[in-house]
Amino acid sequence: MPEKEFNFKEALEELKKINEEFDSEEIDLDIALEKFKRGLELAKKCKEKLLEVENEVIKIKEKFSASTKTQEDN
Amino acid sequence: MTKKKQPNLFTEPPQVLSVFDYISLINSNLEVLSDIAVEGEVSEFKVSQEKWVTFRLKDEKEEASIECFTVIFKLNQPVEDGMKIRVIGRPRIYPRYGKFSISVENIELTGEGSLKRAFELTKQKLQVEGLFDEERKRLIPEFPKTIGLITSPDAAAYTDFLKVLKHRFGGIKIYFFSARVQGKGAVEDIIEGFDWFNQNHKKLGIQLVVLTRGGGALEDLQAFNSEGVARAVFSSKIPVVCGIGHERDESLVDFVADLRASTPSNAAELITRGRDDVGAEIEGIVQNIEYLLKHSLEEKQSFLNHFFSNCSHFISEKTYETKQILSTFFHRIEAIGSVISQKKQEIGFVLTNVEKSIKNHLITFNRTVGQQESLLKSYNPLGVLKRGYGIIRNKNGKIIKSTKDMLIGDNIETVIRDGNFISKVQTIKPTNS
Repeated sequence: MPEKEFNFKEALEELKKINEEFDSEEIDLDIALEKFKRGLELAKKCKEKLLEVENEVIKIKEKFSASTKTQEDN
Repeated sequence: MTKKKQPNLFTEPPQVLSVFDYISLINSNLEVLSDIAVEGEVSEFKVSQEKWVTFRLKDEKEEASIECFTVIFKLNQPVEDGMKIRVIGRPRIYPRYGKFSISVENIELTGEGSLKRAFELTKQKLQVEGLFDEERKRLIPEFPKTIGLITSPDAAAYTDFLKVLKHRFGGIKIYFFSARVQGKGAVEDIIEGFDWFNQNHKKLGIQLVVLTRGGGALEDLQAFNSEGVARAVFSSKIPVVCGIGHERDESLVDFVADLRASTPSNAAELITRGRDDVGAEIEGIVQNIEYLLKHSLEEKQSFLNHFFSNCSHFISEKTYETKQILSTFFHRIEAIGSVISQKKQEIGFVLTNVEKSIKNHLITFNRTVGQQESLLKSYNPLGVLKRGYGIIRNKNGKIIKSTKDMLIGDNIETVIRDGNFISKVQTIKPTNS
C-alpha cells in the first residue's frame, strides 16, 4: 500500500495530542516510549515541511491582457 | 406595428416621414452617442413595480436636466436623489409620447459623497439581511494546503500576497483566478471567480478563497463595496478571506468575509502561521515531551529505589524479628531440655531406687526361699529315718499313725534307715493322752 501523503496539519495535531497526553495522563511506560518515538518522527517530518520554501501558483485562465493594469498605490 | 426600412438620413434625405419613422430615424442616428458617459446629479429618483427605474439627471450649475430610464437589476449600487453619478446608455425618444430620455445601461457613482452614501445604504441593507452576522462566519483552516486567489495579476496585491505567503509557509497550492479589480467588469469578474471556485473546490480540494486588492481611492474600491460581490462572498461554500486596501480602508466584503485581513500581505499572514513560529512550537512540544518522559522515568526510578529500600528495611526487620523468635524458641527449648534432663535424673534416681529395692526384695526372697528350703529339707522323712526314726505301714501300705490303725495279729511293716522288716502285733497299749 502506498504511504499516505503527508498532511502537515494532521501531523501537528497528532503531535499536540501526544503532548497533551504526556501532560495530562499517567501513560504506561511502554506506550510513552512508543508515543515519544512517534512524536519525534512527526516533529522531524513537520520540520522538513517547514523547510519547503516554494508555493505553486496555478493560473486558471489568462482572461485579460497585461494592459488592463490597475492603479494601485500600495 | 411593422418596422419599416429606415432611410439613410445622409444619403437618402427623406421629404416626408410619419412621426414614428421620424422618431425611429432620430433614434437610429443617436446610437453613435451610446458610449458617451453623462455625469450629473440625481433627482426625482423613482422605482415602480419594483422593476422600472426613472430619475432625472441634472447639472448643478447649468439649468439643464434629462430624463433617465433603466431596470432595477442594472443598478449595482444604491442610487438616491442628490447623488452624483455617471451614466452610460442609449439616448432615445420614446415614440408614444415623444419624450426624450437615456436608456441607462450602466451607472457609476462619482464623488466621495455619493460613494460614501451608497456604501452606507448598501451596508445597512446587507446588515439587516444578516450578511454580516458573526454566527455564520466559518473558521479558516489552520494550515491550508490548497487555496483560491482572486485578484488582478498586475496588482501589487498579487505579488505582495504571494511574497508574504512564501515567507510564511511553503508547499501551498494556489489556484489563481485573474480578475479585474476596478472599473468596468470588475464586479462581474470577481463574481465569476467565486462561481468558478464554488464549482471546482471539491474536485481541487480548495479549502479557502482569498479576495484581495491593494489600496486606492474609494472610487477604485467600488467593486468591493458592491452588493453583487458582497453576495458572492456571502454565498460562497468555501470560507472567504478578504484583504482589501490599506489598514484604514473598510469595504463591504470585509464585513461579509469569514475572515477580514487589513491588507493583501495581512491576508497571507492570517491564513497560515509563520514557519519560525510553528518551528518554535514544534521544538517546544518536543522539549516538553522529552522532559515529561525523563521526569516519568526518574519518577519510576525513584519509586524503584524507594521500593528496594523499603524491601530491604522490611527484610532486615523481619530477619531481626525471626532471630528474636528463634532465640526465644531456643531459650525455651533449652529450658525444656533442662527440665527433661532434670526429669531424666529424677527418673534415673527412681529407677536406681526401684532396682535396689527389687534387689533387696530378691535377696530377702532368696533368703526366705533358702530358709524354707532348709525347713523343707528338714521335713524329709528320710532325714528323720537317719536320726533313728522308723515308718510303720499296714499290709496295705498305709502309714500307721495311731494304735487304732492296727489290730493284734496284724503284720506290719517297719521301714528304717537302711531297710525294713515285718513284725506281728502282739500287744496294743494306747497311751493316755
